[in-house]
Amino acid sequence: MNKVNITINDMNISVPENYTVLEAAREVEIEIPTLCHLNLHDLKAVNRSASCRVCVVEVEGRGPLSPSCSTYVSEGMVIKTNTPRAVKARRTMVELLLSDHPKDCLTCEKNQQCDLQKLAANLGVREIEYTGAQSTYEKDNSSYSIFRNLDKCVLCRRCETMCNEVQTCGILSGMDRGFETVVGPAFGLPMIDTMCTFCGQCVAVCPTAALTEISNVRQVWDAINDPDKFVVVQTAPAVRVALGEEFGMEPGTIVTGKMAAALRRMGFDKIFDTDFAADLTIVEEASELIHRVQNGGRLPILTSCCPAWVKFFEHQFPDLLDIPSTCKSPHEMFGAIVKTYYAEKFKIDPHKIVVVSVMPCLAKKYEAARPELSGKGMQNVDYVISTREAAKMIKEAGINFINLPDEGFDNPLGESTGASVIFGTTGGVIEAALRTAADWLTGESLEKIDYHQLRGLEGIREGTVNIGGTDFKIGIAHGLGNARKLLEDIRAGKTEYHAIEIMACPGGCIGGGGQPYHQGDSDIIKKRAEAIYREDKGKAKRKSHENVNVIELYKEFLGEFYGEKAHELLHTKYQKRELI
Amino acid sequence: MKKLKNIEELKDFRDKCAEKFSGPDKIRIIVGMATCGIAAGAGEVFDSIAGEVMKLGLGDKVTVVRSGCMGACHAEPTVEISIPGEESVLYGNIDSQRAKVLVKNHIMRNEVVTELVLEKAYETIS
Amino acid sequence: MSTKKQLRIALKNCGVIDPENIEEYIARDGYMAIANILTEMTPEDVIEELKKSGLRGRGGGGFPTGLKLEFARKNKGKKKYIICNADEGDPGAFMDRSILEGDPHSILEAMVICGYAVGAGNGYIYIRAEYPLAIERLKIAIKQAYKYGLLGKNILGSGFSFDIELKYGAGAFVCGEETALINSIEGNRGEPHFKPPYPAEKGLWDMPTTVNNVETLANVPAIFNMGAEKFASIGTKTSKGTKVFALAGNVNNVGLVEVPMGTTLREIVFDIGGGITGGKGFKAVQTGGPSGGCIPVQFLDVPIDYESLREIGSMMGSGGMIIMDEDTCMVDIAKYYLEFTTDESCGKCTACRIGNKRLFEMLEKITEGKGTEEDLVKLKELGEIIKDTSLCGLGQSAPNPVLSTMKYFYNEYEAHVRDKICPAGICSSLTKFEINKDKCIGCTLCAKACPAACISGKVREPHEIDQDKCIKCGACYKACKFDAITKS
Repeated sequence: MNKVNITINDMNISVPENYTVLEAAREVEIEIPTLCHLNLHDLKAVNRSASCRVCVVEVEGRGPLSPSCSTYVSEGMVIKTNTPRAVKARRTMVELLLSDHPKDCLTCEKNQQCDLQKLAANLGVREIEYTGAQSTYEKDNSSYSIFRNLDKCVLCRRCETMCNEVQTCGILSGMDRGFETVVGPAFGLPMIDTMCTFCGQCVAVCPTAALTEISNVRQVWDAINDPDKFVVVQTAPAVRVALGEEFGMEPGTIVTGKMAAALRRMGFDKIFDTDFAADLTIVEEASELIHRVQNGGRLPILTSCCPAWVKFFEHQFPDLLDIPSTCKSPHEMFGAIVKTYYAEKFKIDPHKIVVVSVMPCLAKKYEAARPELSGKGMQNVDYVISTREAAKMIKEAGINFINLPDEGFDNPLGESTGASVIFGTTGGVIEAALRTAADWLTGESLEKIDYHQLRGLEGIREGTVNIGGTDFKIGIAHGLGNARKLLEDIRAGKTEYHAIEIMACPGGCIGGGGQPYHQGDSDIIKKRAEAIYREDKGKAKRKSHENVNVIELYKEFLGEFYGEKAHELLHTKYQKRELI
Repeated sequence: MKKLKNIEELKDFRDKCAEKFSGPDKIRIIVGMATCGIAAGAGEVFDSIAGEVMKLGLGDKVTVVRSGCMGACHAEPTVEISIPGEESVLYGNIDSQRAKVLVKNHIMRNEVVTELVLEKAYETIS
Repeated sequence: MSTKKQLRIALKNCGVIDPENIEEYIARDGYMAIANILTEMTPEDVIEELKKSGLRGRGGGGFPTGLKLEFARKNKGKKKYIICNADEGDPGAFMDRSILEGDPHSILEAMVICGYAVGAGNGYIYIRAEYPLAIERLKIAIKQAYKYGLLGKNILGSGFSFDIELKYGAGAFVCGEETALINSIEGNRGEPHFKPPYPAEKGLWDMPTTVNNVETLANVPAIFNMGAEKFASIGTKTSKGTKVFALAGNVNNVGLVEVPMGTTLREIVFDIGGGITGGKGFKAVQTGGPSGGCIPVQFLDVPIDYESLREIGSMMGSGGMIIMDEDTCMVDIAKYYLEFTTDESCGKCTACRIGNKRLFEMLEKITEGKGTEEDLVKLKELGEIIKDTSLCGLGQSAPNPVLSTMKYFYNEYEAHVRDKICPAGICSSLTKFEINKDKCIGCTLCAKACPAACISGKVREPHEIDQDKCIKCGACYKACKFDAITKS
C-alpha cells in the first residue's frame, strides 16, 4: 500500500493512502470521538454513514468541517482535530442529540454501556443548551427477541448496515424525513410480522438503548422463586467465554466453573450444559449425513443449530427446505430430553419443570416460542436469557462473580466433550460432526481431530476432508450475507458440497446478538474464539460420540441413533414463510 | 421518416423544416402553453383562435402553435403573432373573446390591438 | 428604455417553437451542435470548448461544467452515466420546468453531447413526478429523437450511441442533491452521502457519473452553435453567460427572465420586474431558494454573479428570486424557509435533523413574542455550527435565510424580542387590533366578521375589541370599510 504524508495536529506522519483521517489519528494516539462509526475489521462490517457529525475535524482548504470517519487522507493534507471550532461543533452535535433523547439514564437498560452517555461524559457536556420537541414513537415489543425504543435512536444507522449489508435481511431502514426520521421495518410493521431473523446483530451494534433484547429476567426469577417449579438451567458453549467480560474480566477468559457456581447460588435446581445436547446433536446430525450419503439423499446437508439461520432460509429459500438437517438446535433437544427422559428417570412431573436457556443469542428467544418445538402441551424450552441478562441476574443476586470458586455442572445432563464446546464459534459444528463421522466411517478412533483448515474468521470458507479415502467437501459461512451467497450457489447448482455449516452471526455464536457488547471491537470476538479452542483442547474427551451420558441416553431411552424416538423428540420440520 | 444518417441529411432536413415553418407566406400564432399558461386558460384561448382561424378560412396561411412558456407570468395567457416581414407582436391577458379579436384585427385587418400588447423585453442569442 | 435588459440563451426556443414537434427544433438549428461535434470534434475538444466558454452549473453550486465532464472522462469505469437533474424544488422556482416544457430537445441534445464528452452511453433524466406536462413533452421528444436517429444506436452514422431514460422523483426536495438523486435512481432511500467520492468517481451504480441541471444543459448546444468565445464574452469575470430567474413575490411583472450575469438586482426588480406591487417600498430580495439569503436595499446595485451573491450572504441557487415589500416581516420569512428545510431534511445527519429543528423552534418562539436576547445569540451560534457541520448542501445552507436576515435586519429581531412587537404586523401573536372610536360608525361589519365573537358595541355606536379574546386573525381589519381598525 502506498503511503502519503499528512500533518495532523502539527505532527508530520506517513500513513497508508487508504486510511481515513480517523485511522490516521489513531496511529499517533489522537482519539477523535465517534458515535455512528463502526468498523468490525475481521468481520467486514463497516458503518461509515458520517451521519452523527461527532468526529468532525478541520481539514485545511476544505470549507466546512470534515467527518474524520469517512474523509480519506491525501498527500499533503493538513488536519487539526481539536481546534475550538471542531470541539465546539462536536459538543453541539452531542447536545443536539441529547436534546432529542429521553434523559432517563439511571434506569436505562444501557446505563453505563451507552456510547452516547460515554460521549457526553468525555466531551464534558454538563448542560444542554438547546431544548425543544422530543421524538416519541410507539415501542415495539411485538417479537420475542428485539425491543425497539426509537425515542432513544440517534440515527447512527449501524443497525441498518448490519441488517442490510452484512445480514442482507433488509428489515431496518430509514423512513420519513426531517425530525421525524426513524429507522424501522417497511410500512412501520411490527418486527414479528417481518422476515426478521432475530439474529440481534442490530442490538449488538446499537450505541444506545434504541434496540435491546426483550428481557425474560423477571419470568426466570419468578420461576426460581416458585417452590412448585423445578427450574433447570442450561448454558450454551459461547456463554462461558464471554460472560466474564460483564464483570470486567479480560475478553477470552473462560469462566465455565464460576458460571456454574453463580447459577447454583442464584437458586436454579439443576445446572446443566447445552454442550451435552450439542454432543447429542452431533450424533444425530452425523447419522443423518451418513444416512443421506449412503442412501443417495439430497446433499449438501446444512446445519440447523442456528435459529436465525433457520428463519432466514424459511423466508428466503423456501425452495430448499429439504436440505437443512432436520435436527433441532441443541438447547431445544435439551429441553425435549429434560421433559421426557430426565423427568421420567428422576420422577419429576414434567409440567413442573421449567427449562431456562442461557444463550449468546436473541433468536433463541423466538425459537423457544415456535409452536412445533413442543411436546405434550409443553414448550421444550420455557425461557431464554442472553449472556447479558444472565450477568444482570448474577449482579442482582449479589454474587461476587470474580471470586467464585469453580464448580461443575450437574449430571447426567452436564457432561460434555470438546466437540460440543466448539459449537460456539464459526466452523465448530461442522468440525465436531466430522470428528464423529470420521470415526464412524473409518471404524477407527482417529487421533487427528483438529481440522485447522476449517477454522478462522473468513466469511466463507471451504475445505476438503478425506475420510477413509472419500473426499468430503465442506463449506462454512457465518453472517447471513455470506450464507446467502452459498445458498444462491446451491440453488443455481453451482456447488458440490457434502455439508455446510451456517451461523447467522459474524464469528458464530461468540459474536451473537445476546453477548456482552463488543462496542465495535472485533478483537474481542477473536479472543472469544481462541478461548473456545482452548476449552476444547483442555477436555478429556473431544468427540461427541464418546460422551458417556449421551450413549447412556440412547441405551436407556432413545434407542437407535437417528431412530424413531430420536425423530420424535430431536428432529423438527420447516415451513415456507413470506418475504416481507 | 427514416433515420438521419449523417450531418448532410440533417442539414437538408433542417432547411426543409425552416422553409416549412417560416416561409414568406407563413403567419404564426403562438399560444404560450406551458403549465402556467394552461392553468391561466391558454387551452381555451388556443381553441378559440384555432376555431376563429378555421371560421375565417385562414387555415392555409395561418399556423396556430402551442409553445412553452413565454415568460410573462403576470399576463398569462399570452399569445404571439408573427407575420413575415413584420416585427412579431406579443399579447398578454388574452381570453377566448380577446383571442377572436386578435385574429380579426391583427390578421384580417392588419391592426395591432395596442391595449393588449406586452413589451417583448428580451433579445435572443443568434 | 432603449436597450433590452434580457438576453435569451437557455430560453431561446421557449415560447417560440412547438415543443412537441422535433421539426421546429431542427428548423432552428436543433441537433446541429451534436452533428458538428460527432463529425469534427474529439471528446477532449468538446470538454476544452466547454471549459473555454466558462459555463458553470446553474443548479446552485456553480461548478465549472467543463471540469466536471473532464473528471468523469478521466475516471475509469465499465459504464458511465449522464444524469439530468430536473428535480426542481425551490419554492417559487420554475426555470427548469419551463425549459423542459418549452424546449425539451435542447436537453436531449445536450445530454448526448455530454455523453460523447465523457464516454457515457446512457443518460437519465431525473424529473419530479409533479411535472406531468414536462414529462409528457419529454416522452414525446425522446420518442421523436429516436425516430430520427438522434438518440439510440449509431447517432447520425457516427458510431456513437446514447440512450436516455426518464426516472421520476417522488417529490423529496433533498433528491435535488446529486448523491441523494443517485441513491433515488438506484432505488434506495433518497438521502445524500458524504463527498468525496464525487459522482464523477463513484456515481450511479458506482460508475463515473456527471449530474447536470436542466438550465446548465440548455446552454450547452447553444454554446457550440454560437461559439465558446461569444458565450464567454457575456457576463462577468467569473460567471459567464446568462442566468434564468423566476421572478416572484411583491413585484409587478412576475415571470421568467433571463439576464446576462452581472445584471444588477435593481435592473431585474425595477426595470424588468416593473417595481413593487401597489407602489410600496422595496425591502429585500431572496435569492437561492431555501438555501439562499435575503438581500437588502443597499445591495440593489451589485452586479450579480456566483461570487457577489455569496459575498453578500446569499447565493445564486437555481434561480428563484422572491421580491419582498416593506410589509414583510423578515423573522417570519426566515421561519418560513426554516420550516421548509426542516420538513425537507432527509434526517440523516444530526446537524440538519435536530439542529435546524431547534433553529426553527427558536424562530417560532421569537415570532410568538416569547424569545429572549439569549435566543438571538444562540440562533446565530447554532446557525453557524449547522452550516459548518452538516453533511450535505441542504443542511449547510439551511441556516442562510436566518443568518442573512439577522445580519441585515437585526433590528426586526430585536423588536420581536425586546419590544415584543412585529414591525411589519405579520406575526399574529405580536399584533394588536384596535378600533379607532373617532372613525367607527358602528356599522357592525367587524363584529359579524369576528370568528371569536370578541367585538362588542351597539349599532351606530363605536365598537370595541376584547383583547383577551382576540385571536388576531385580522378578519375585522379586512371587513372594516371606514379604516377604523388599526393594526399595530
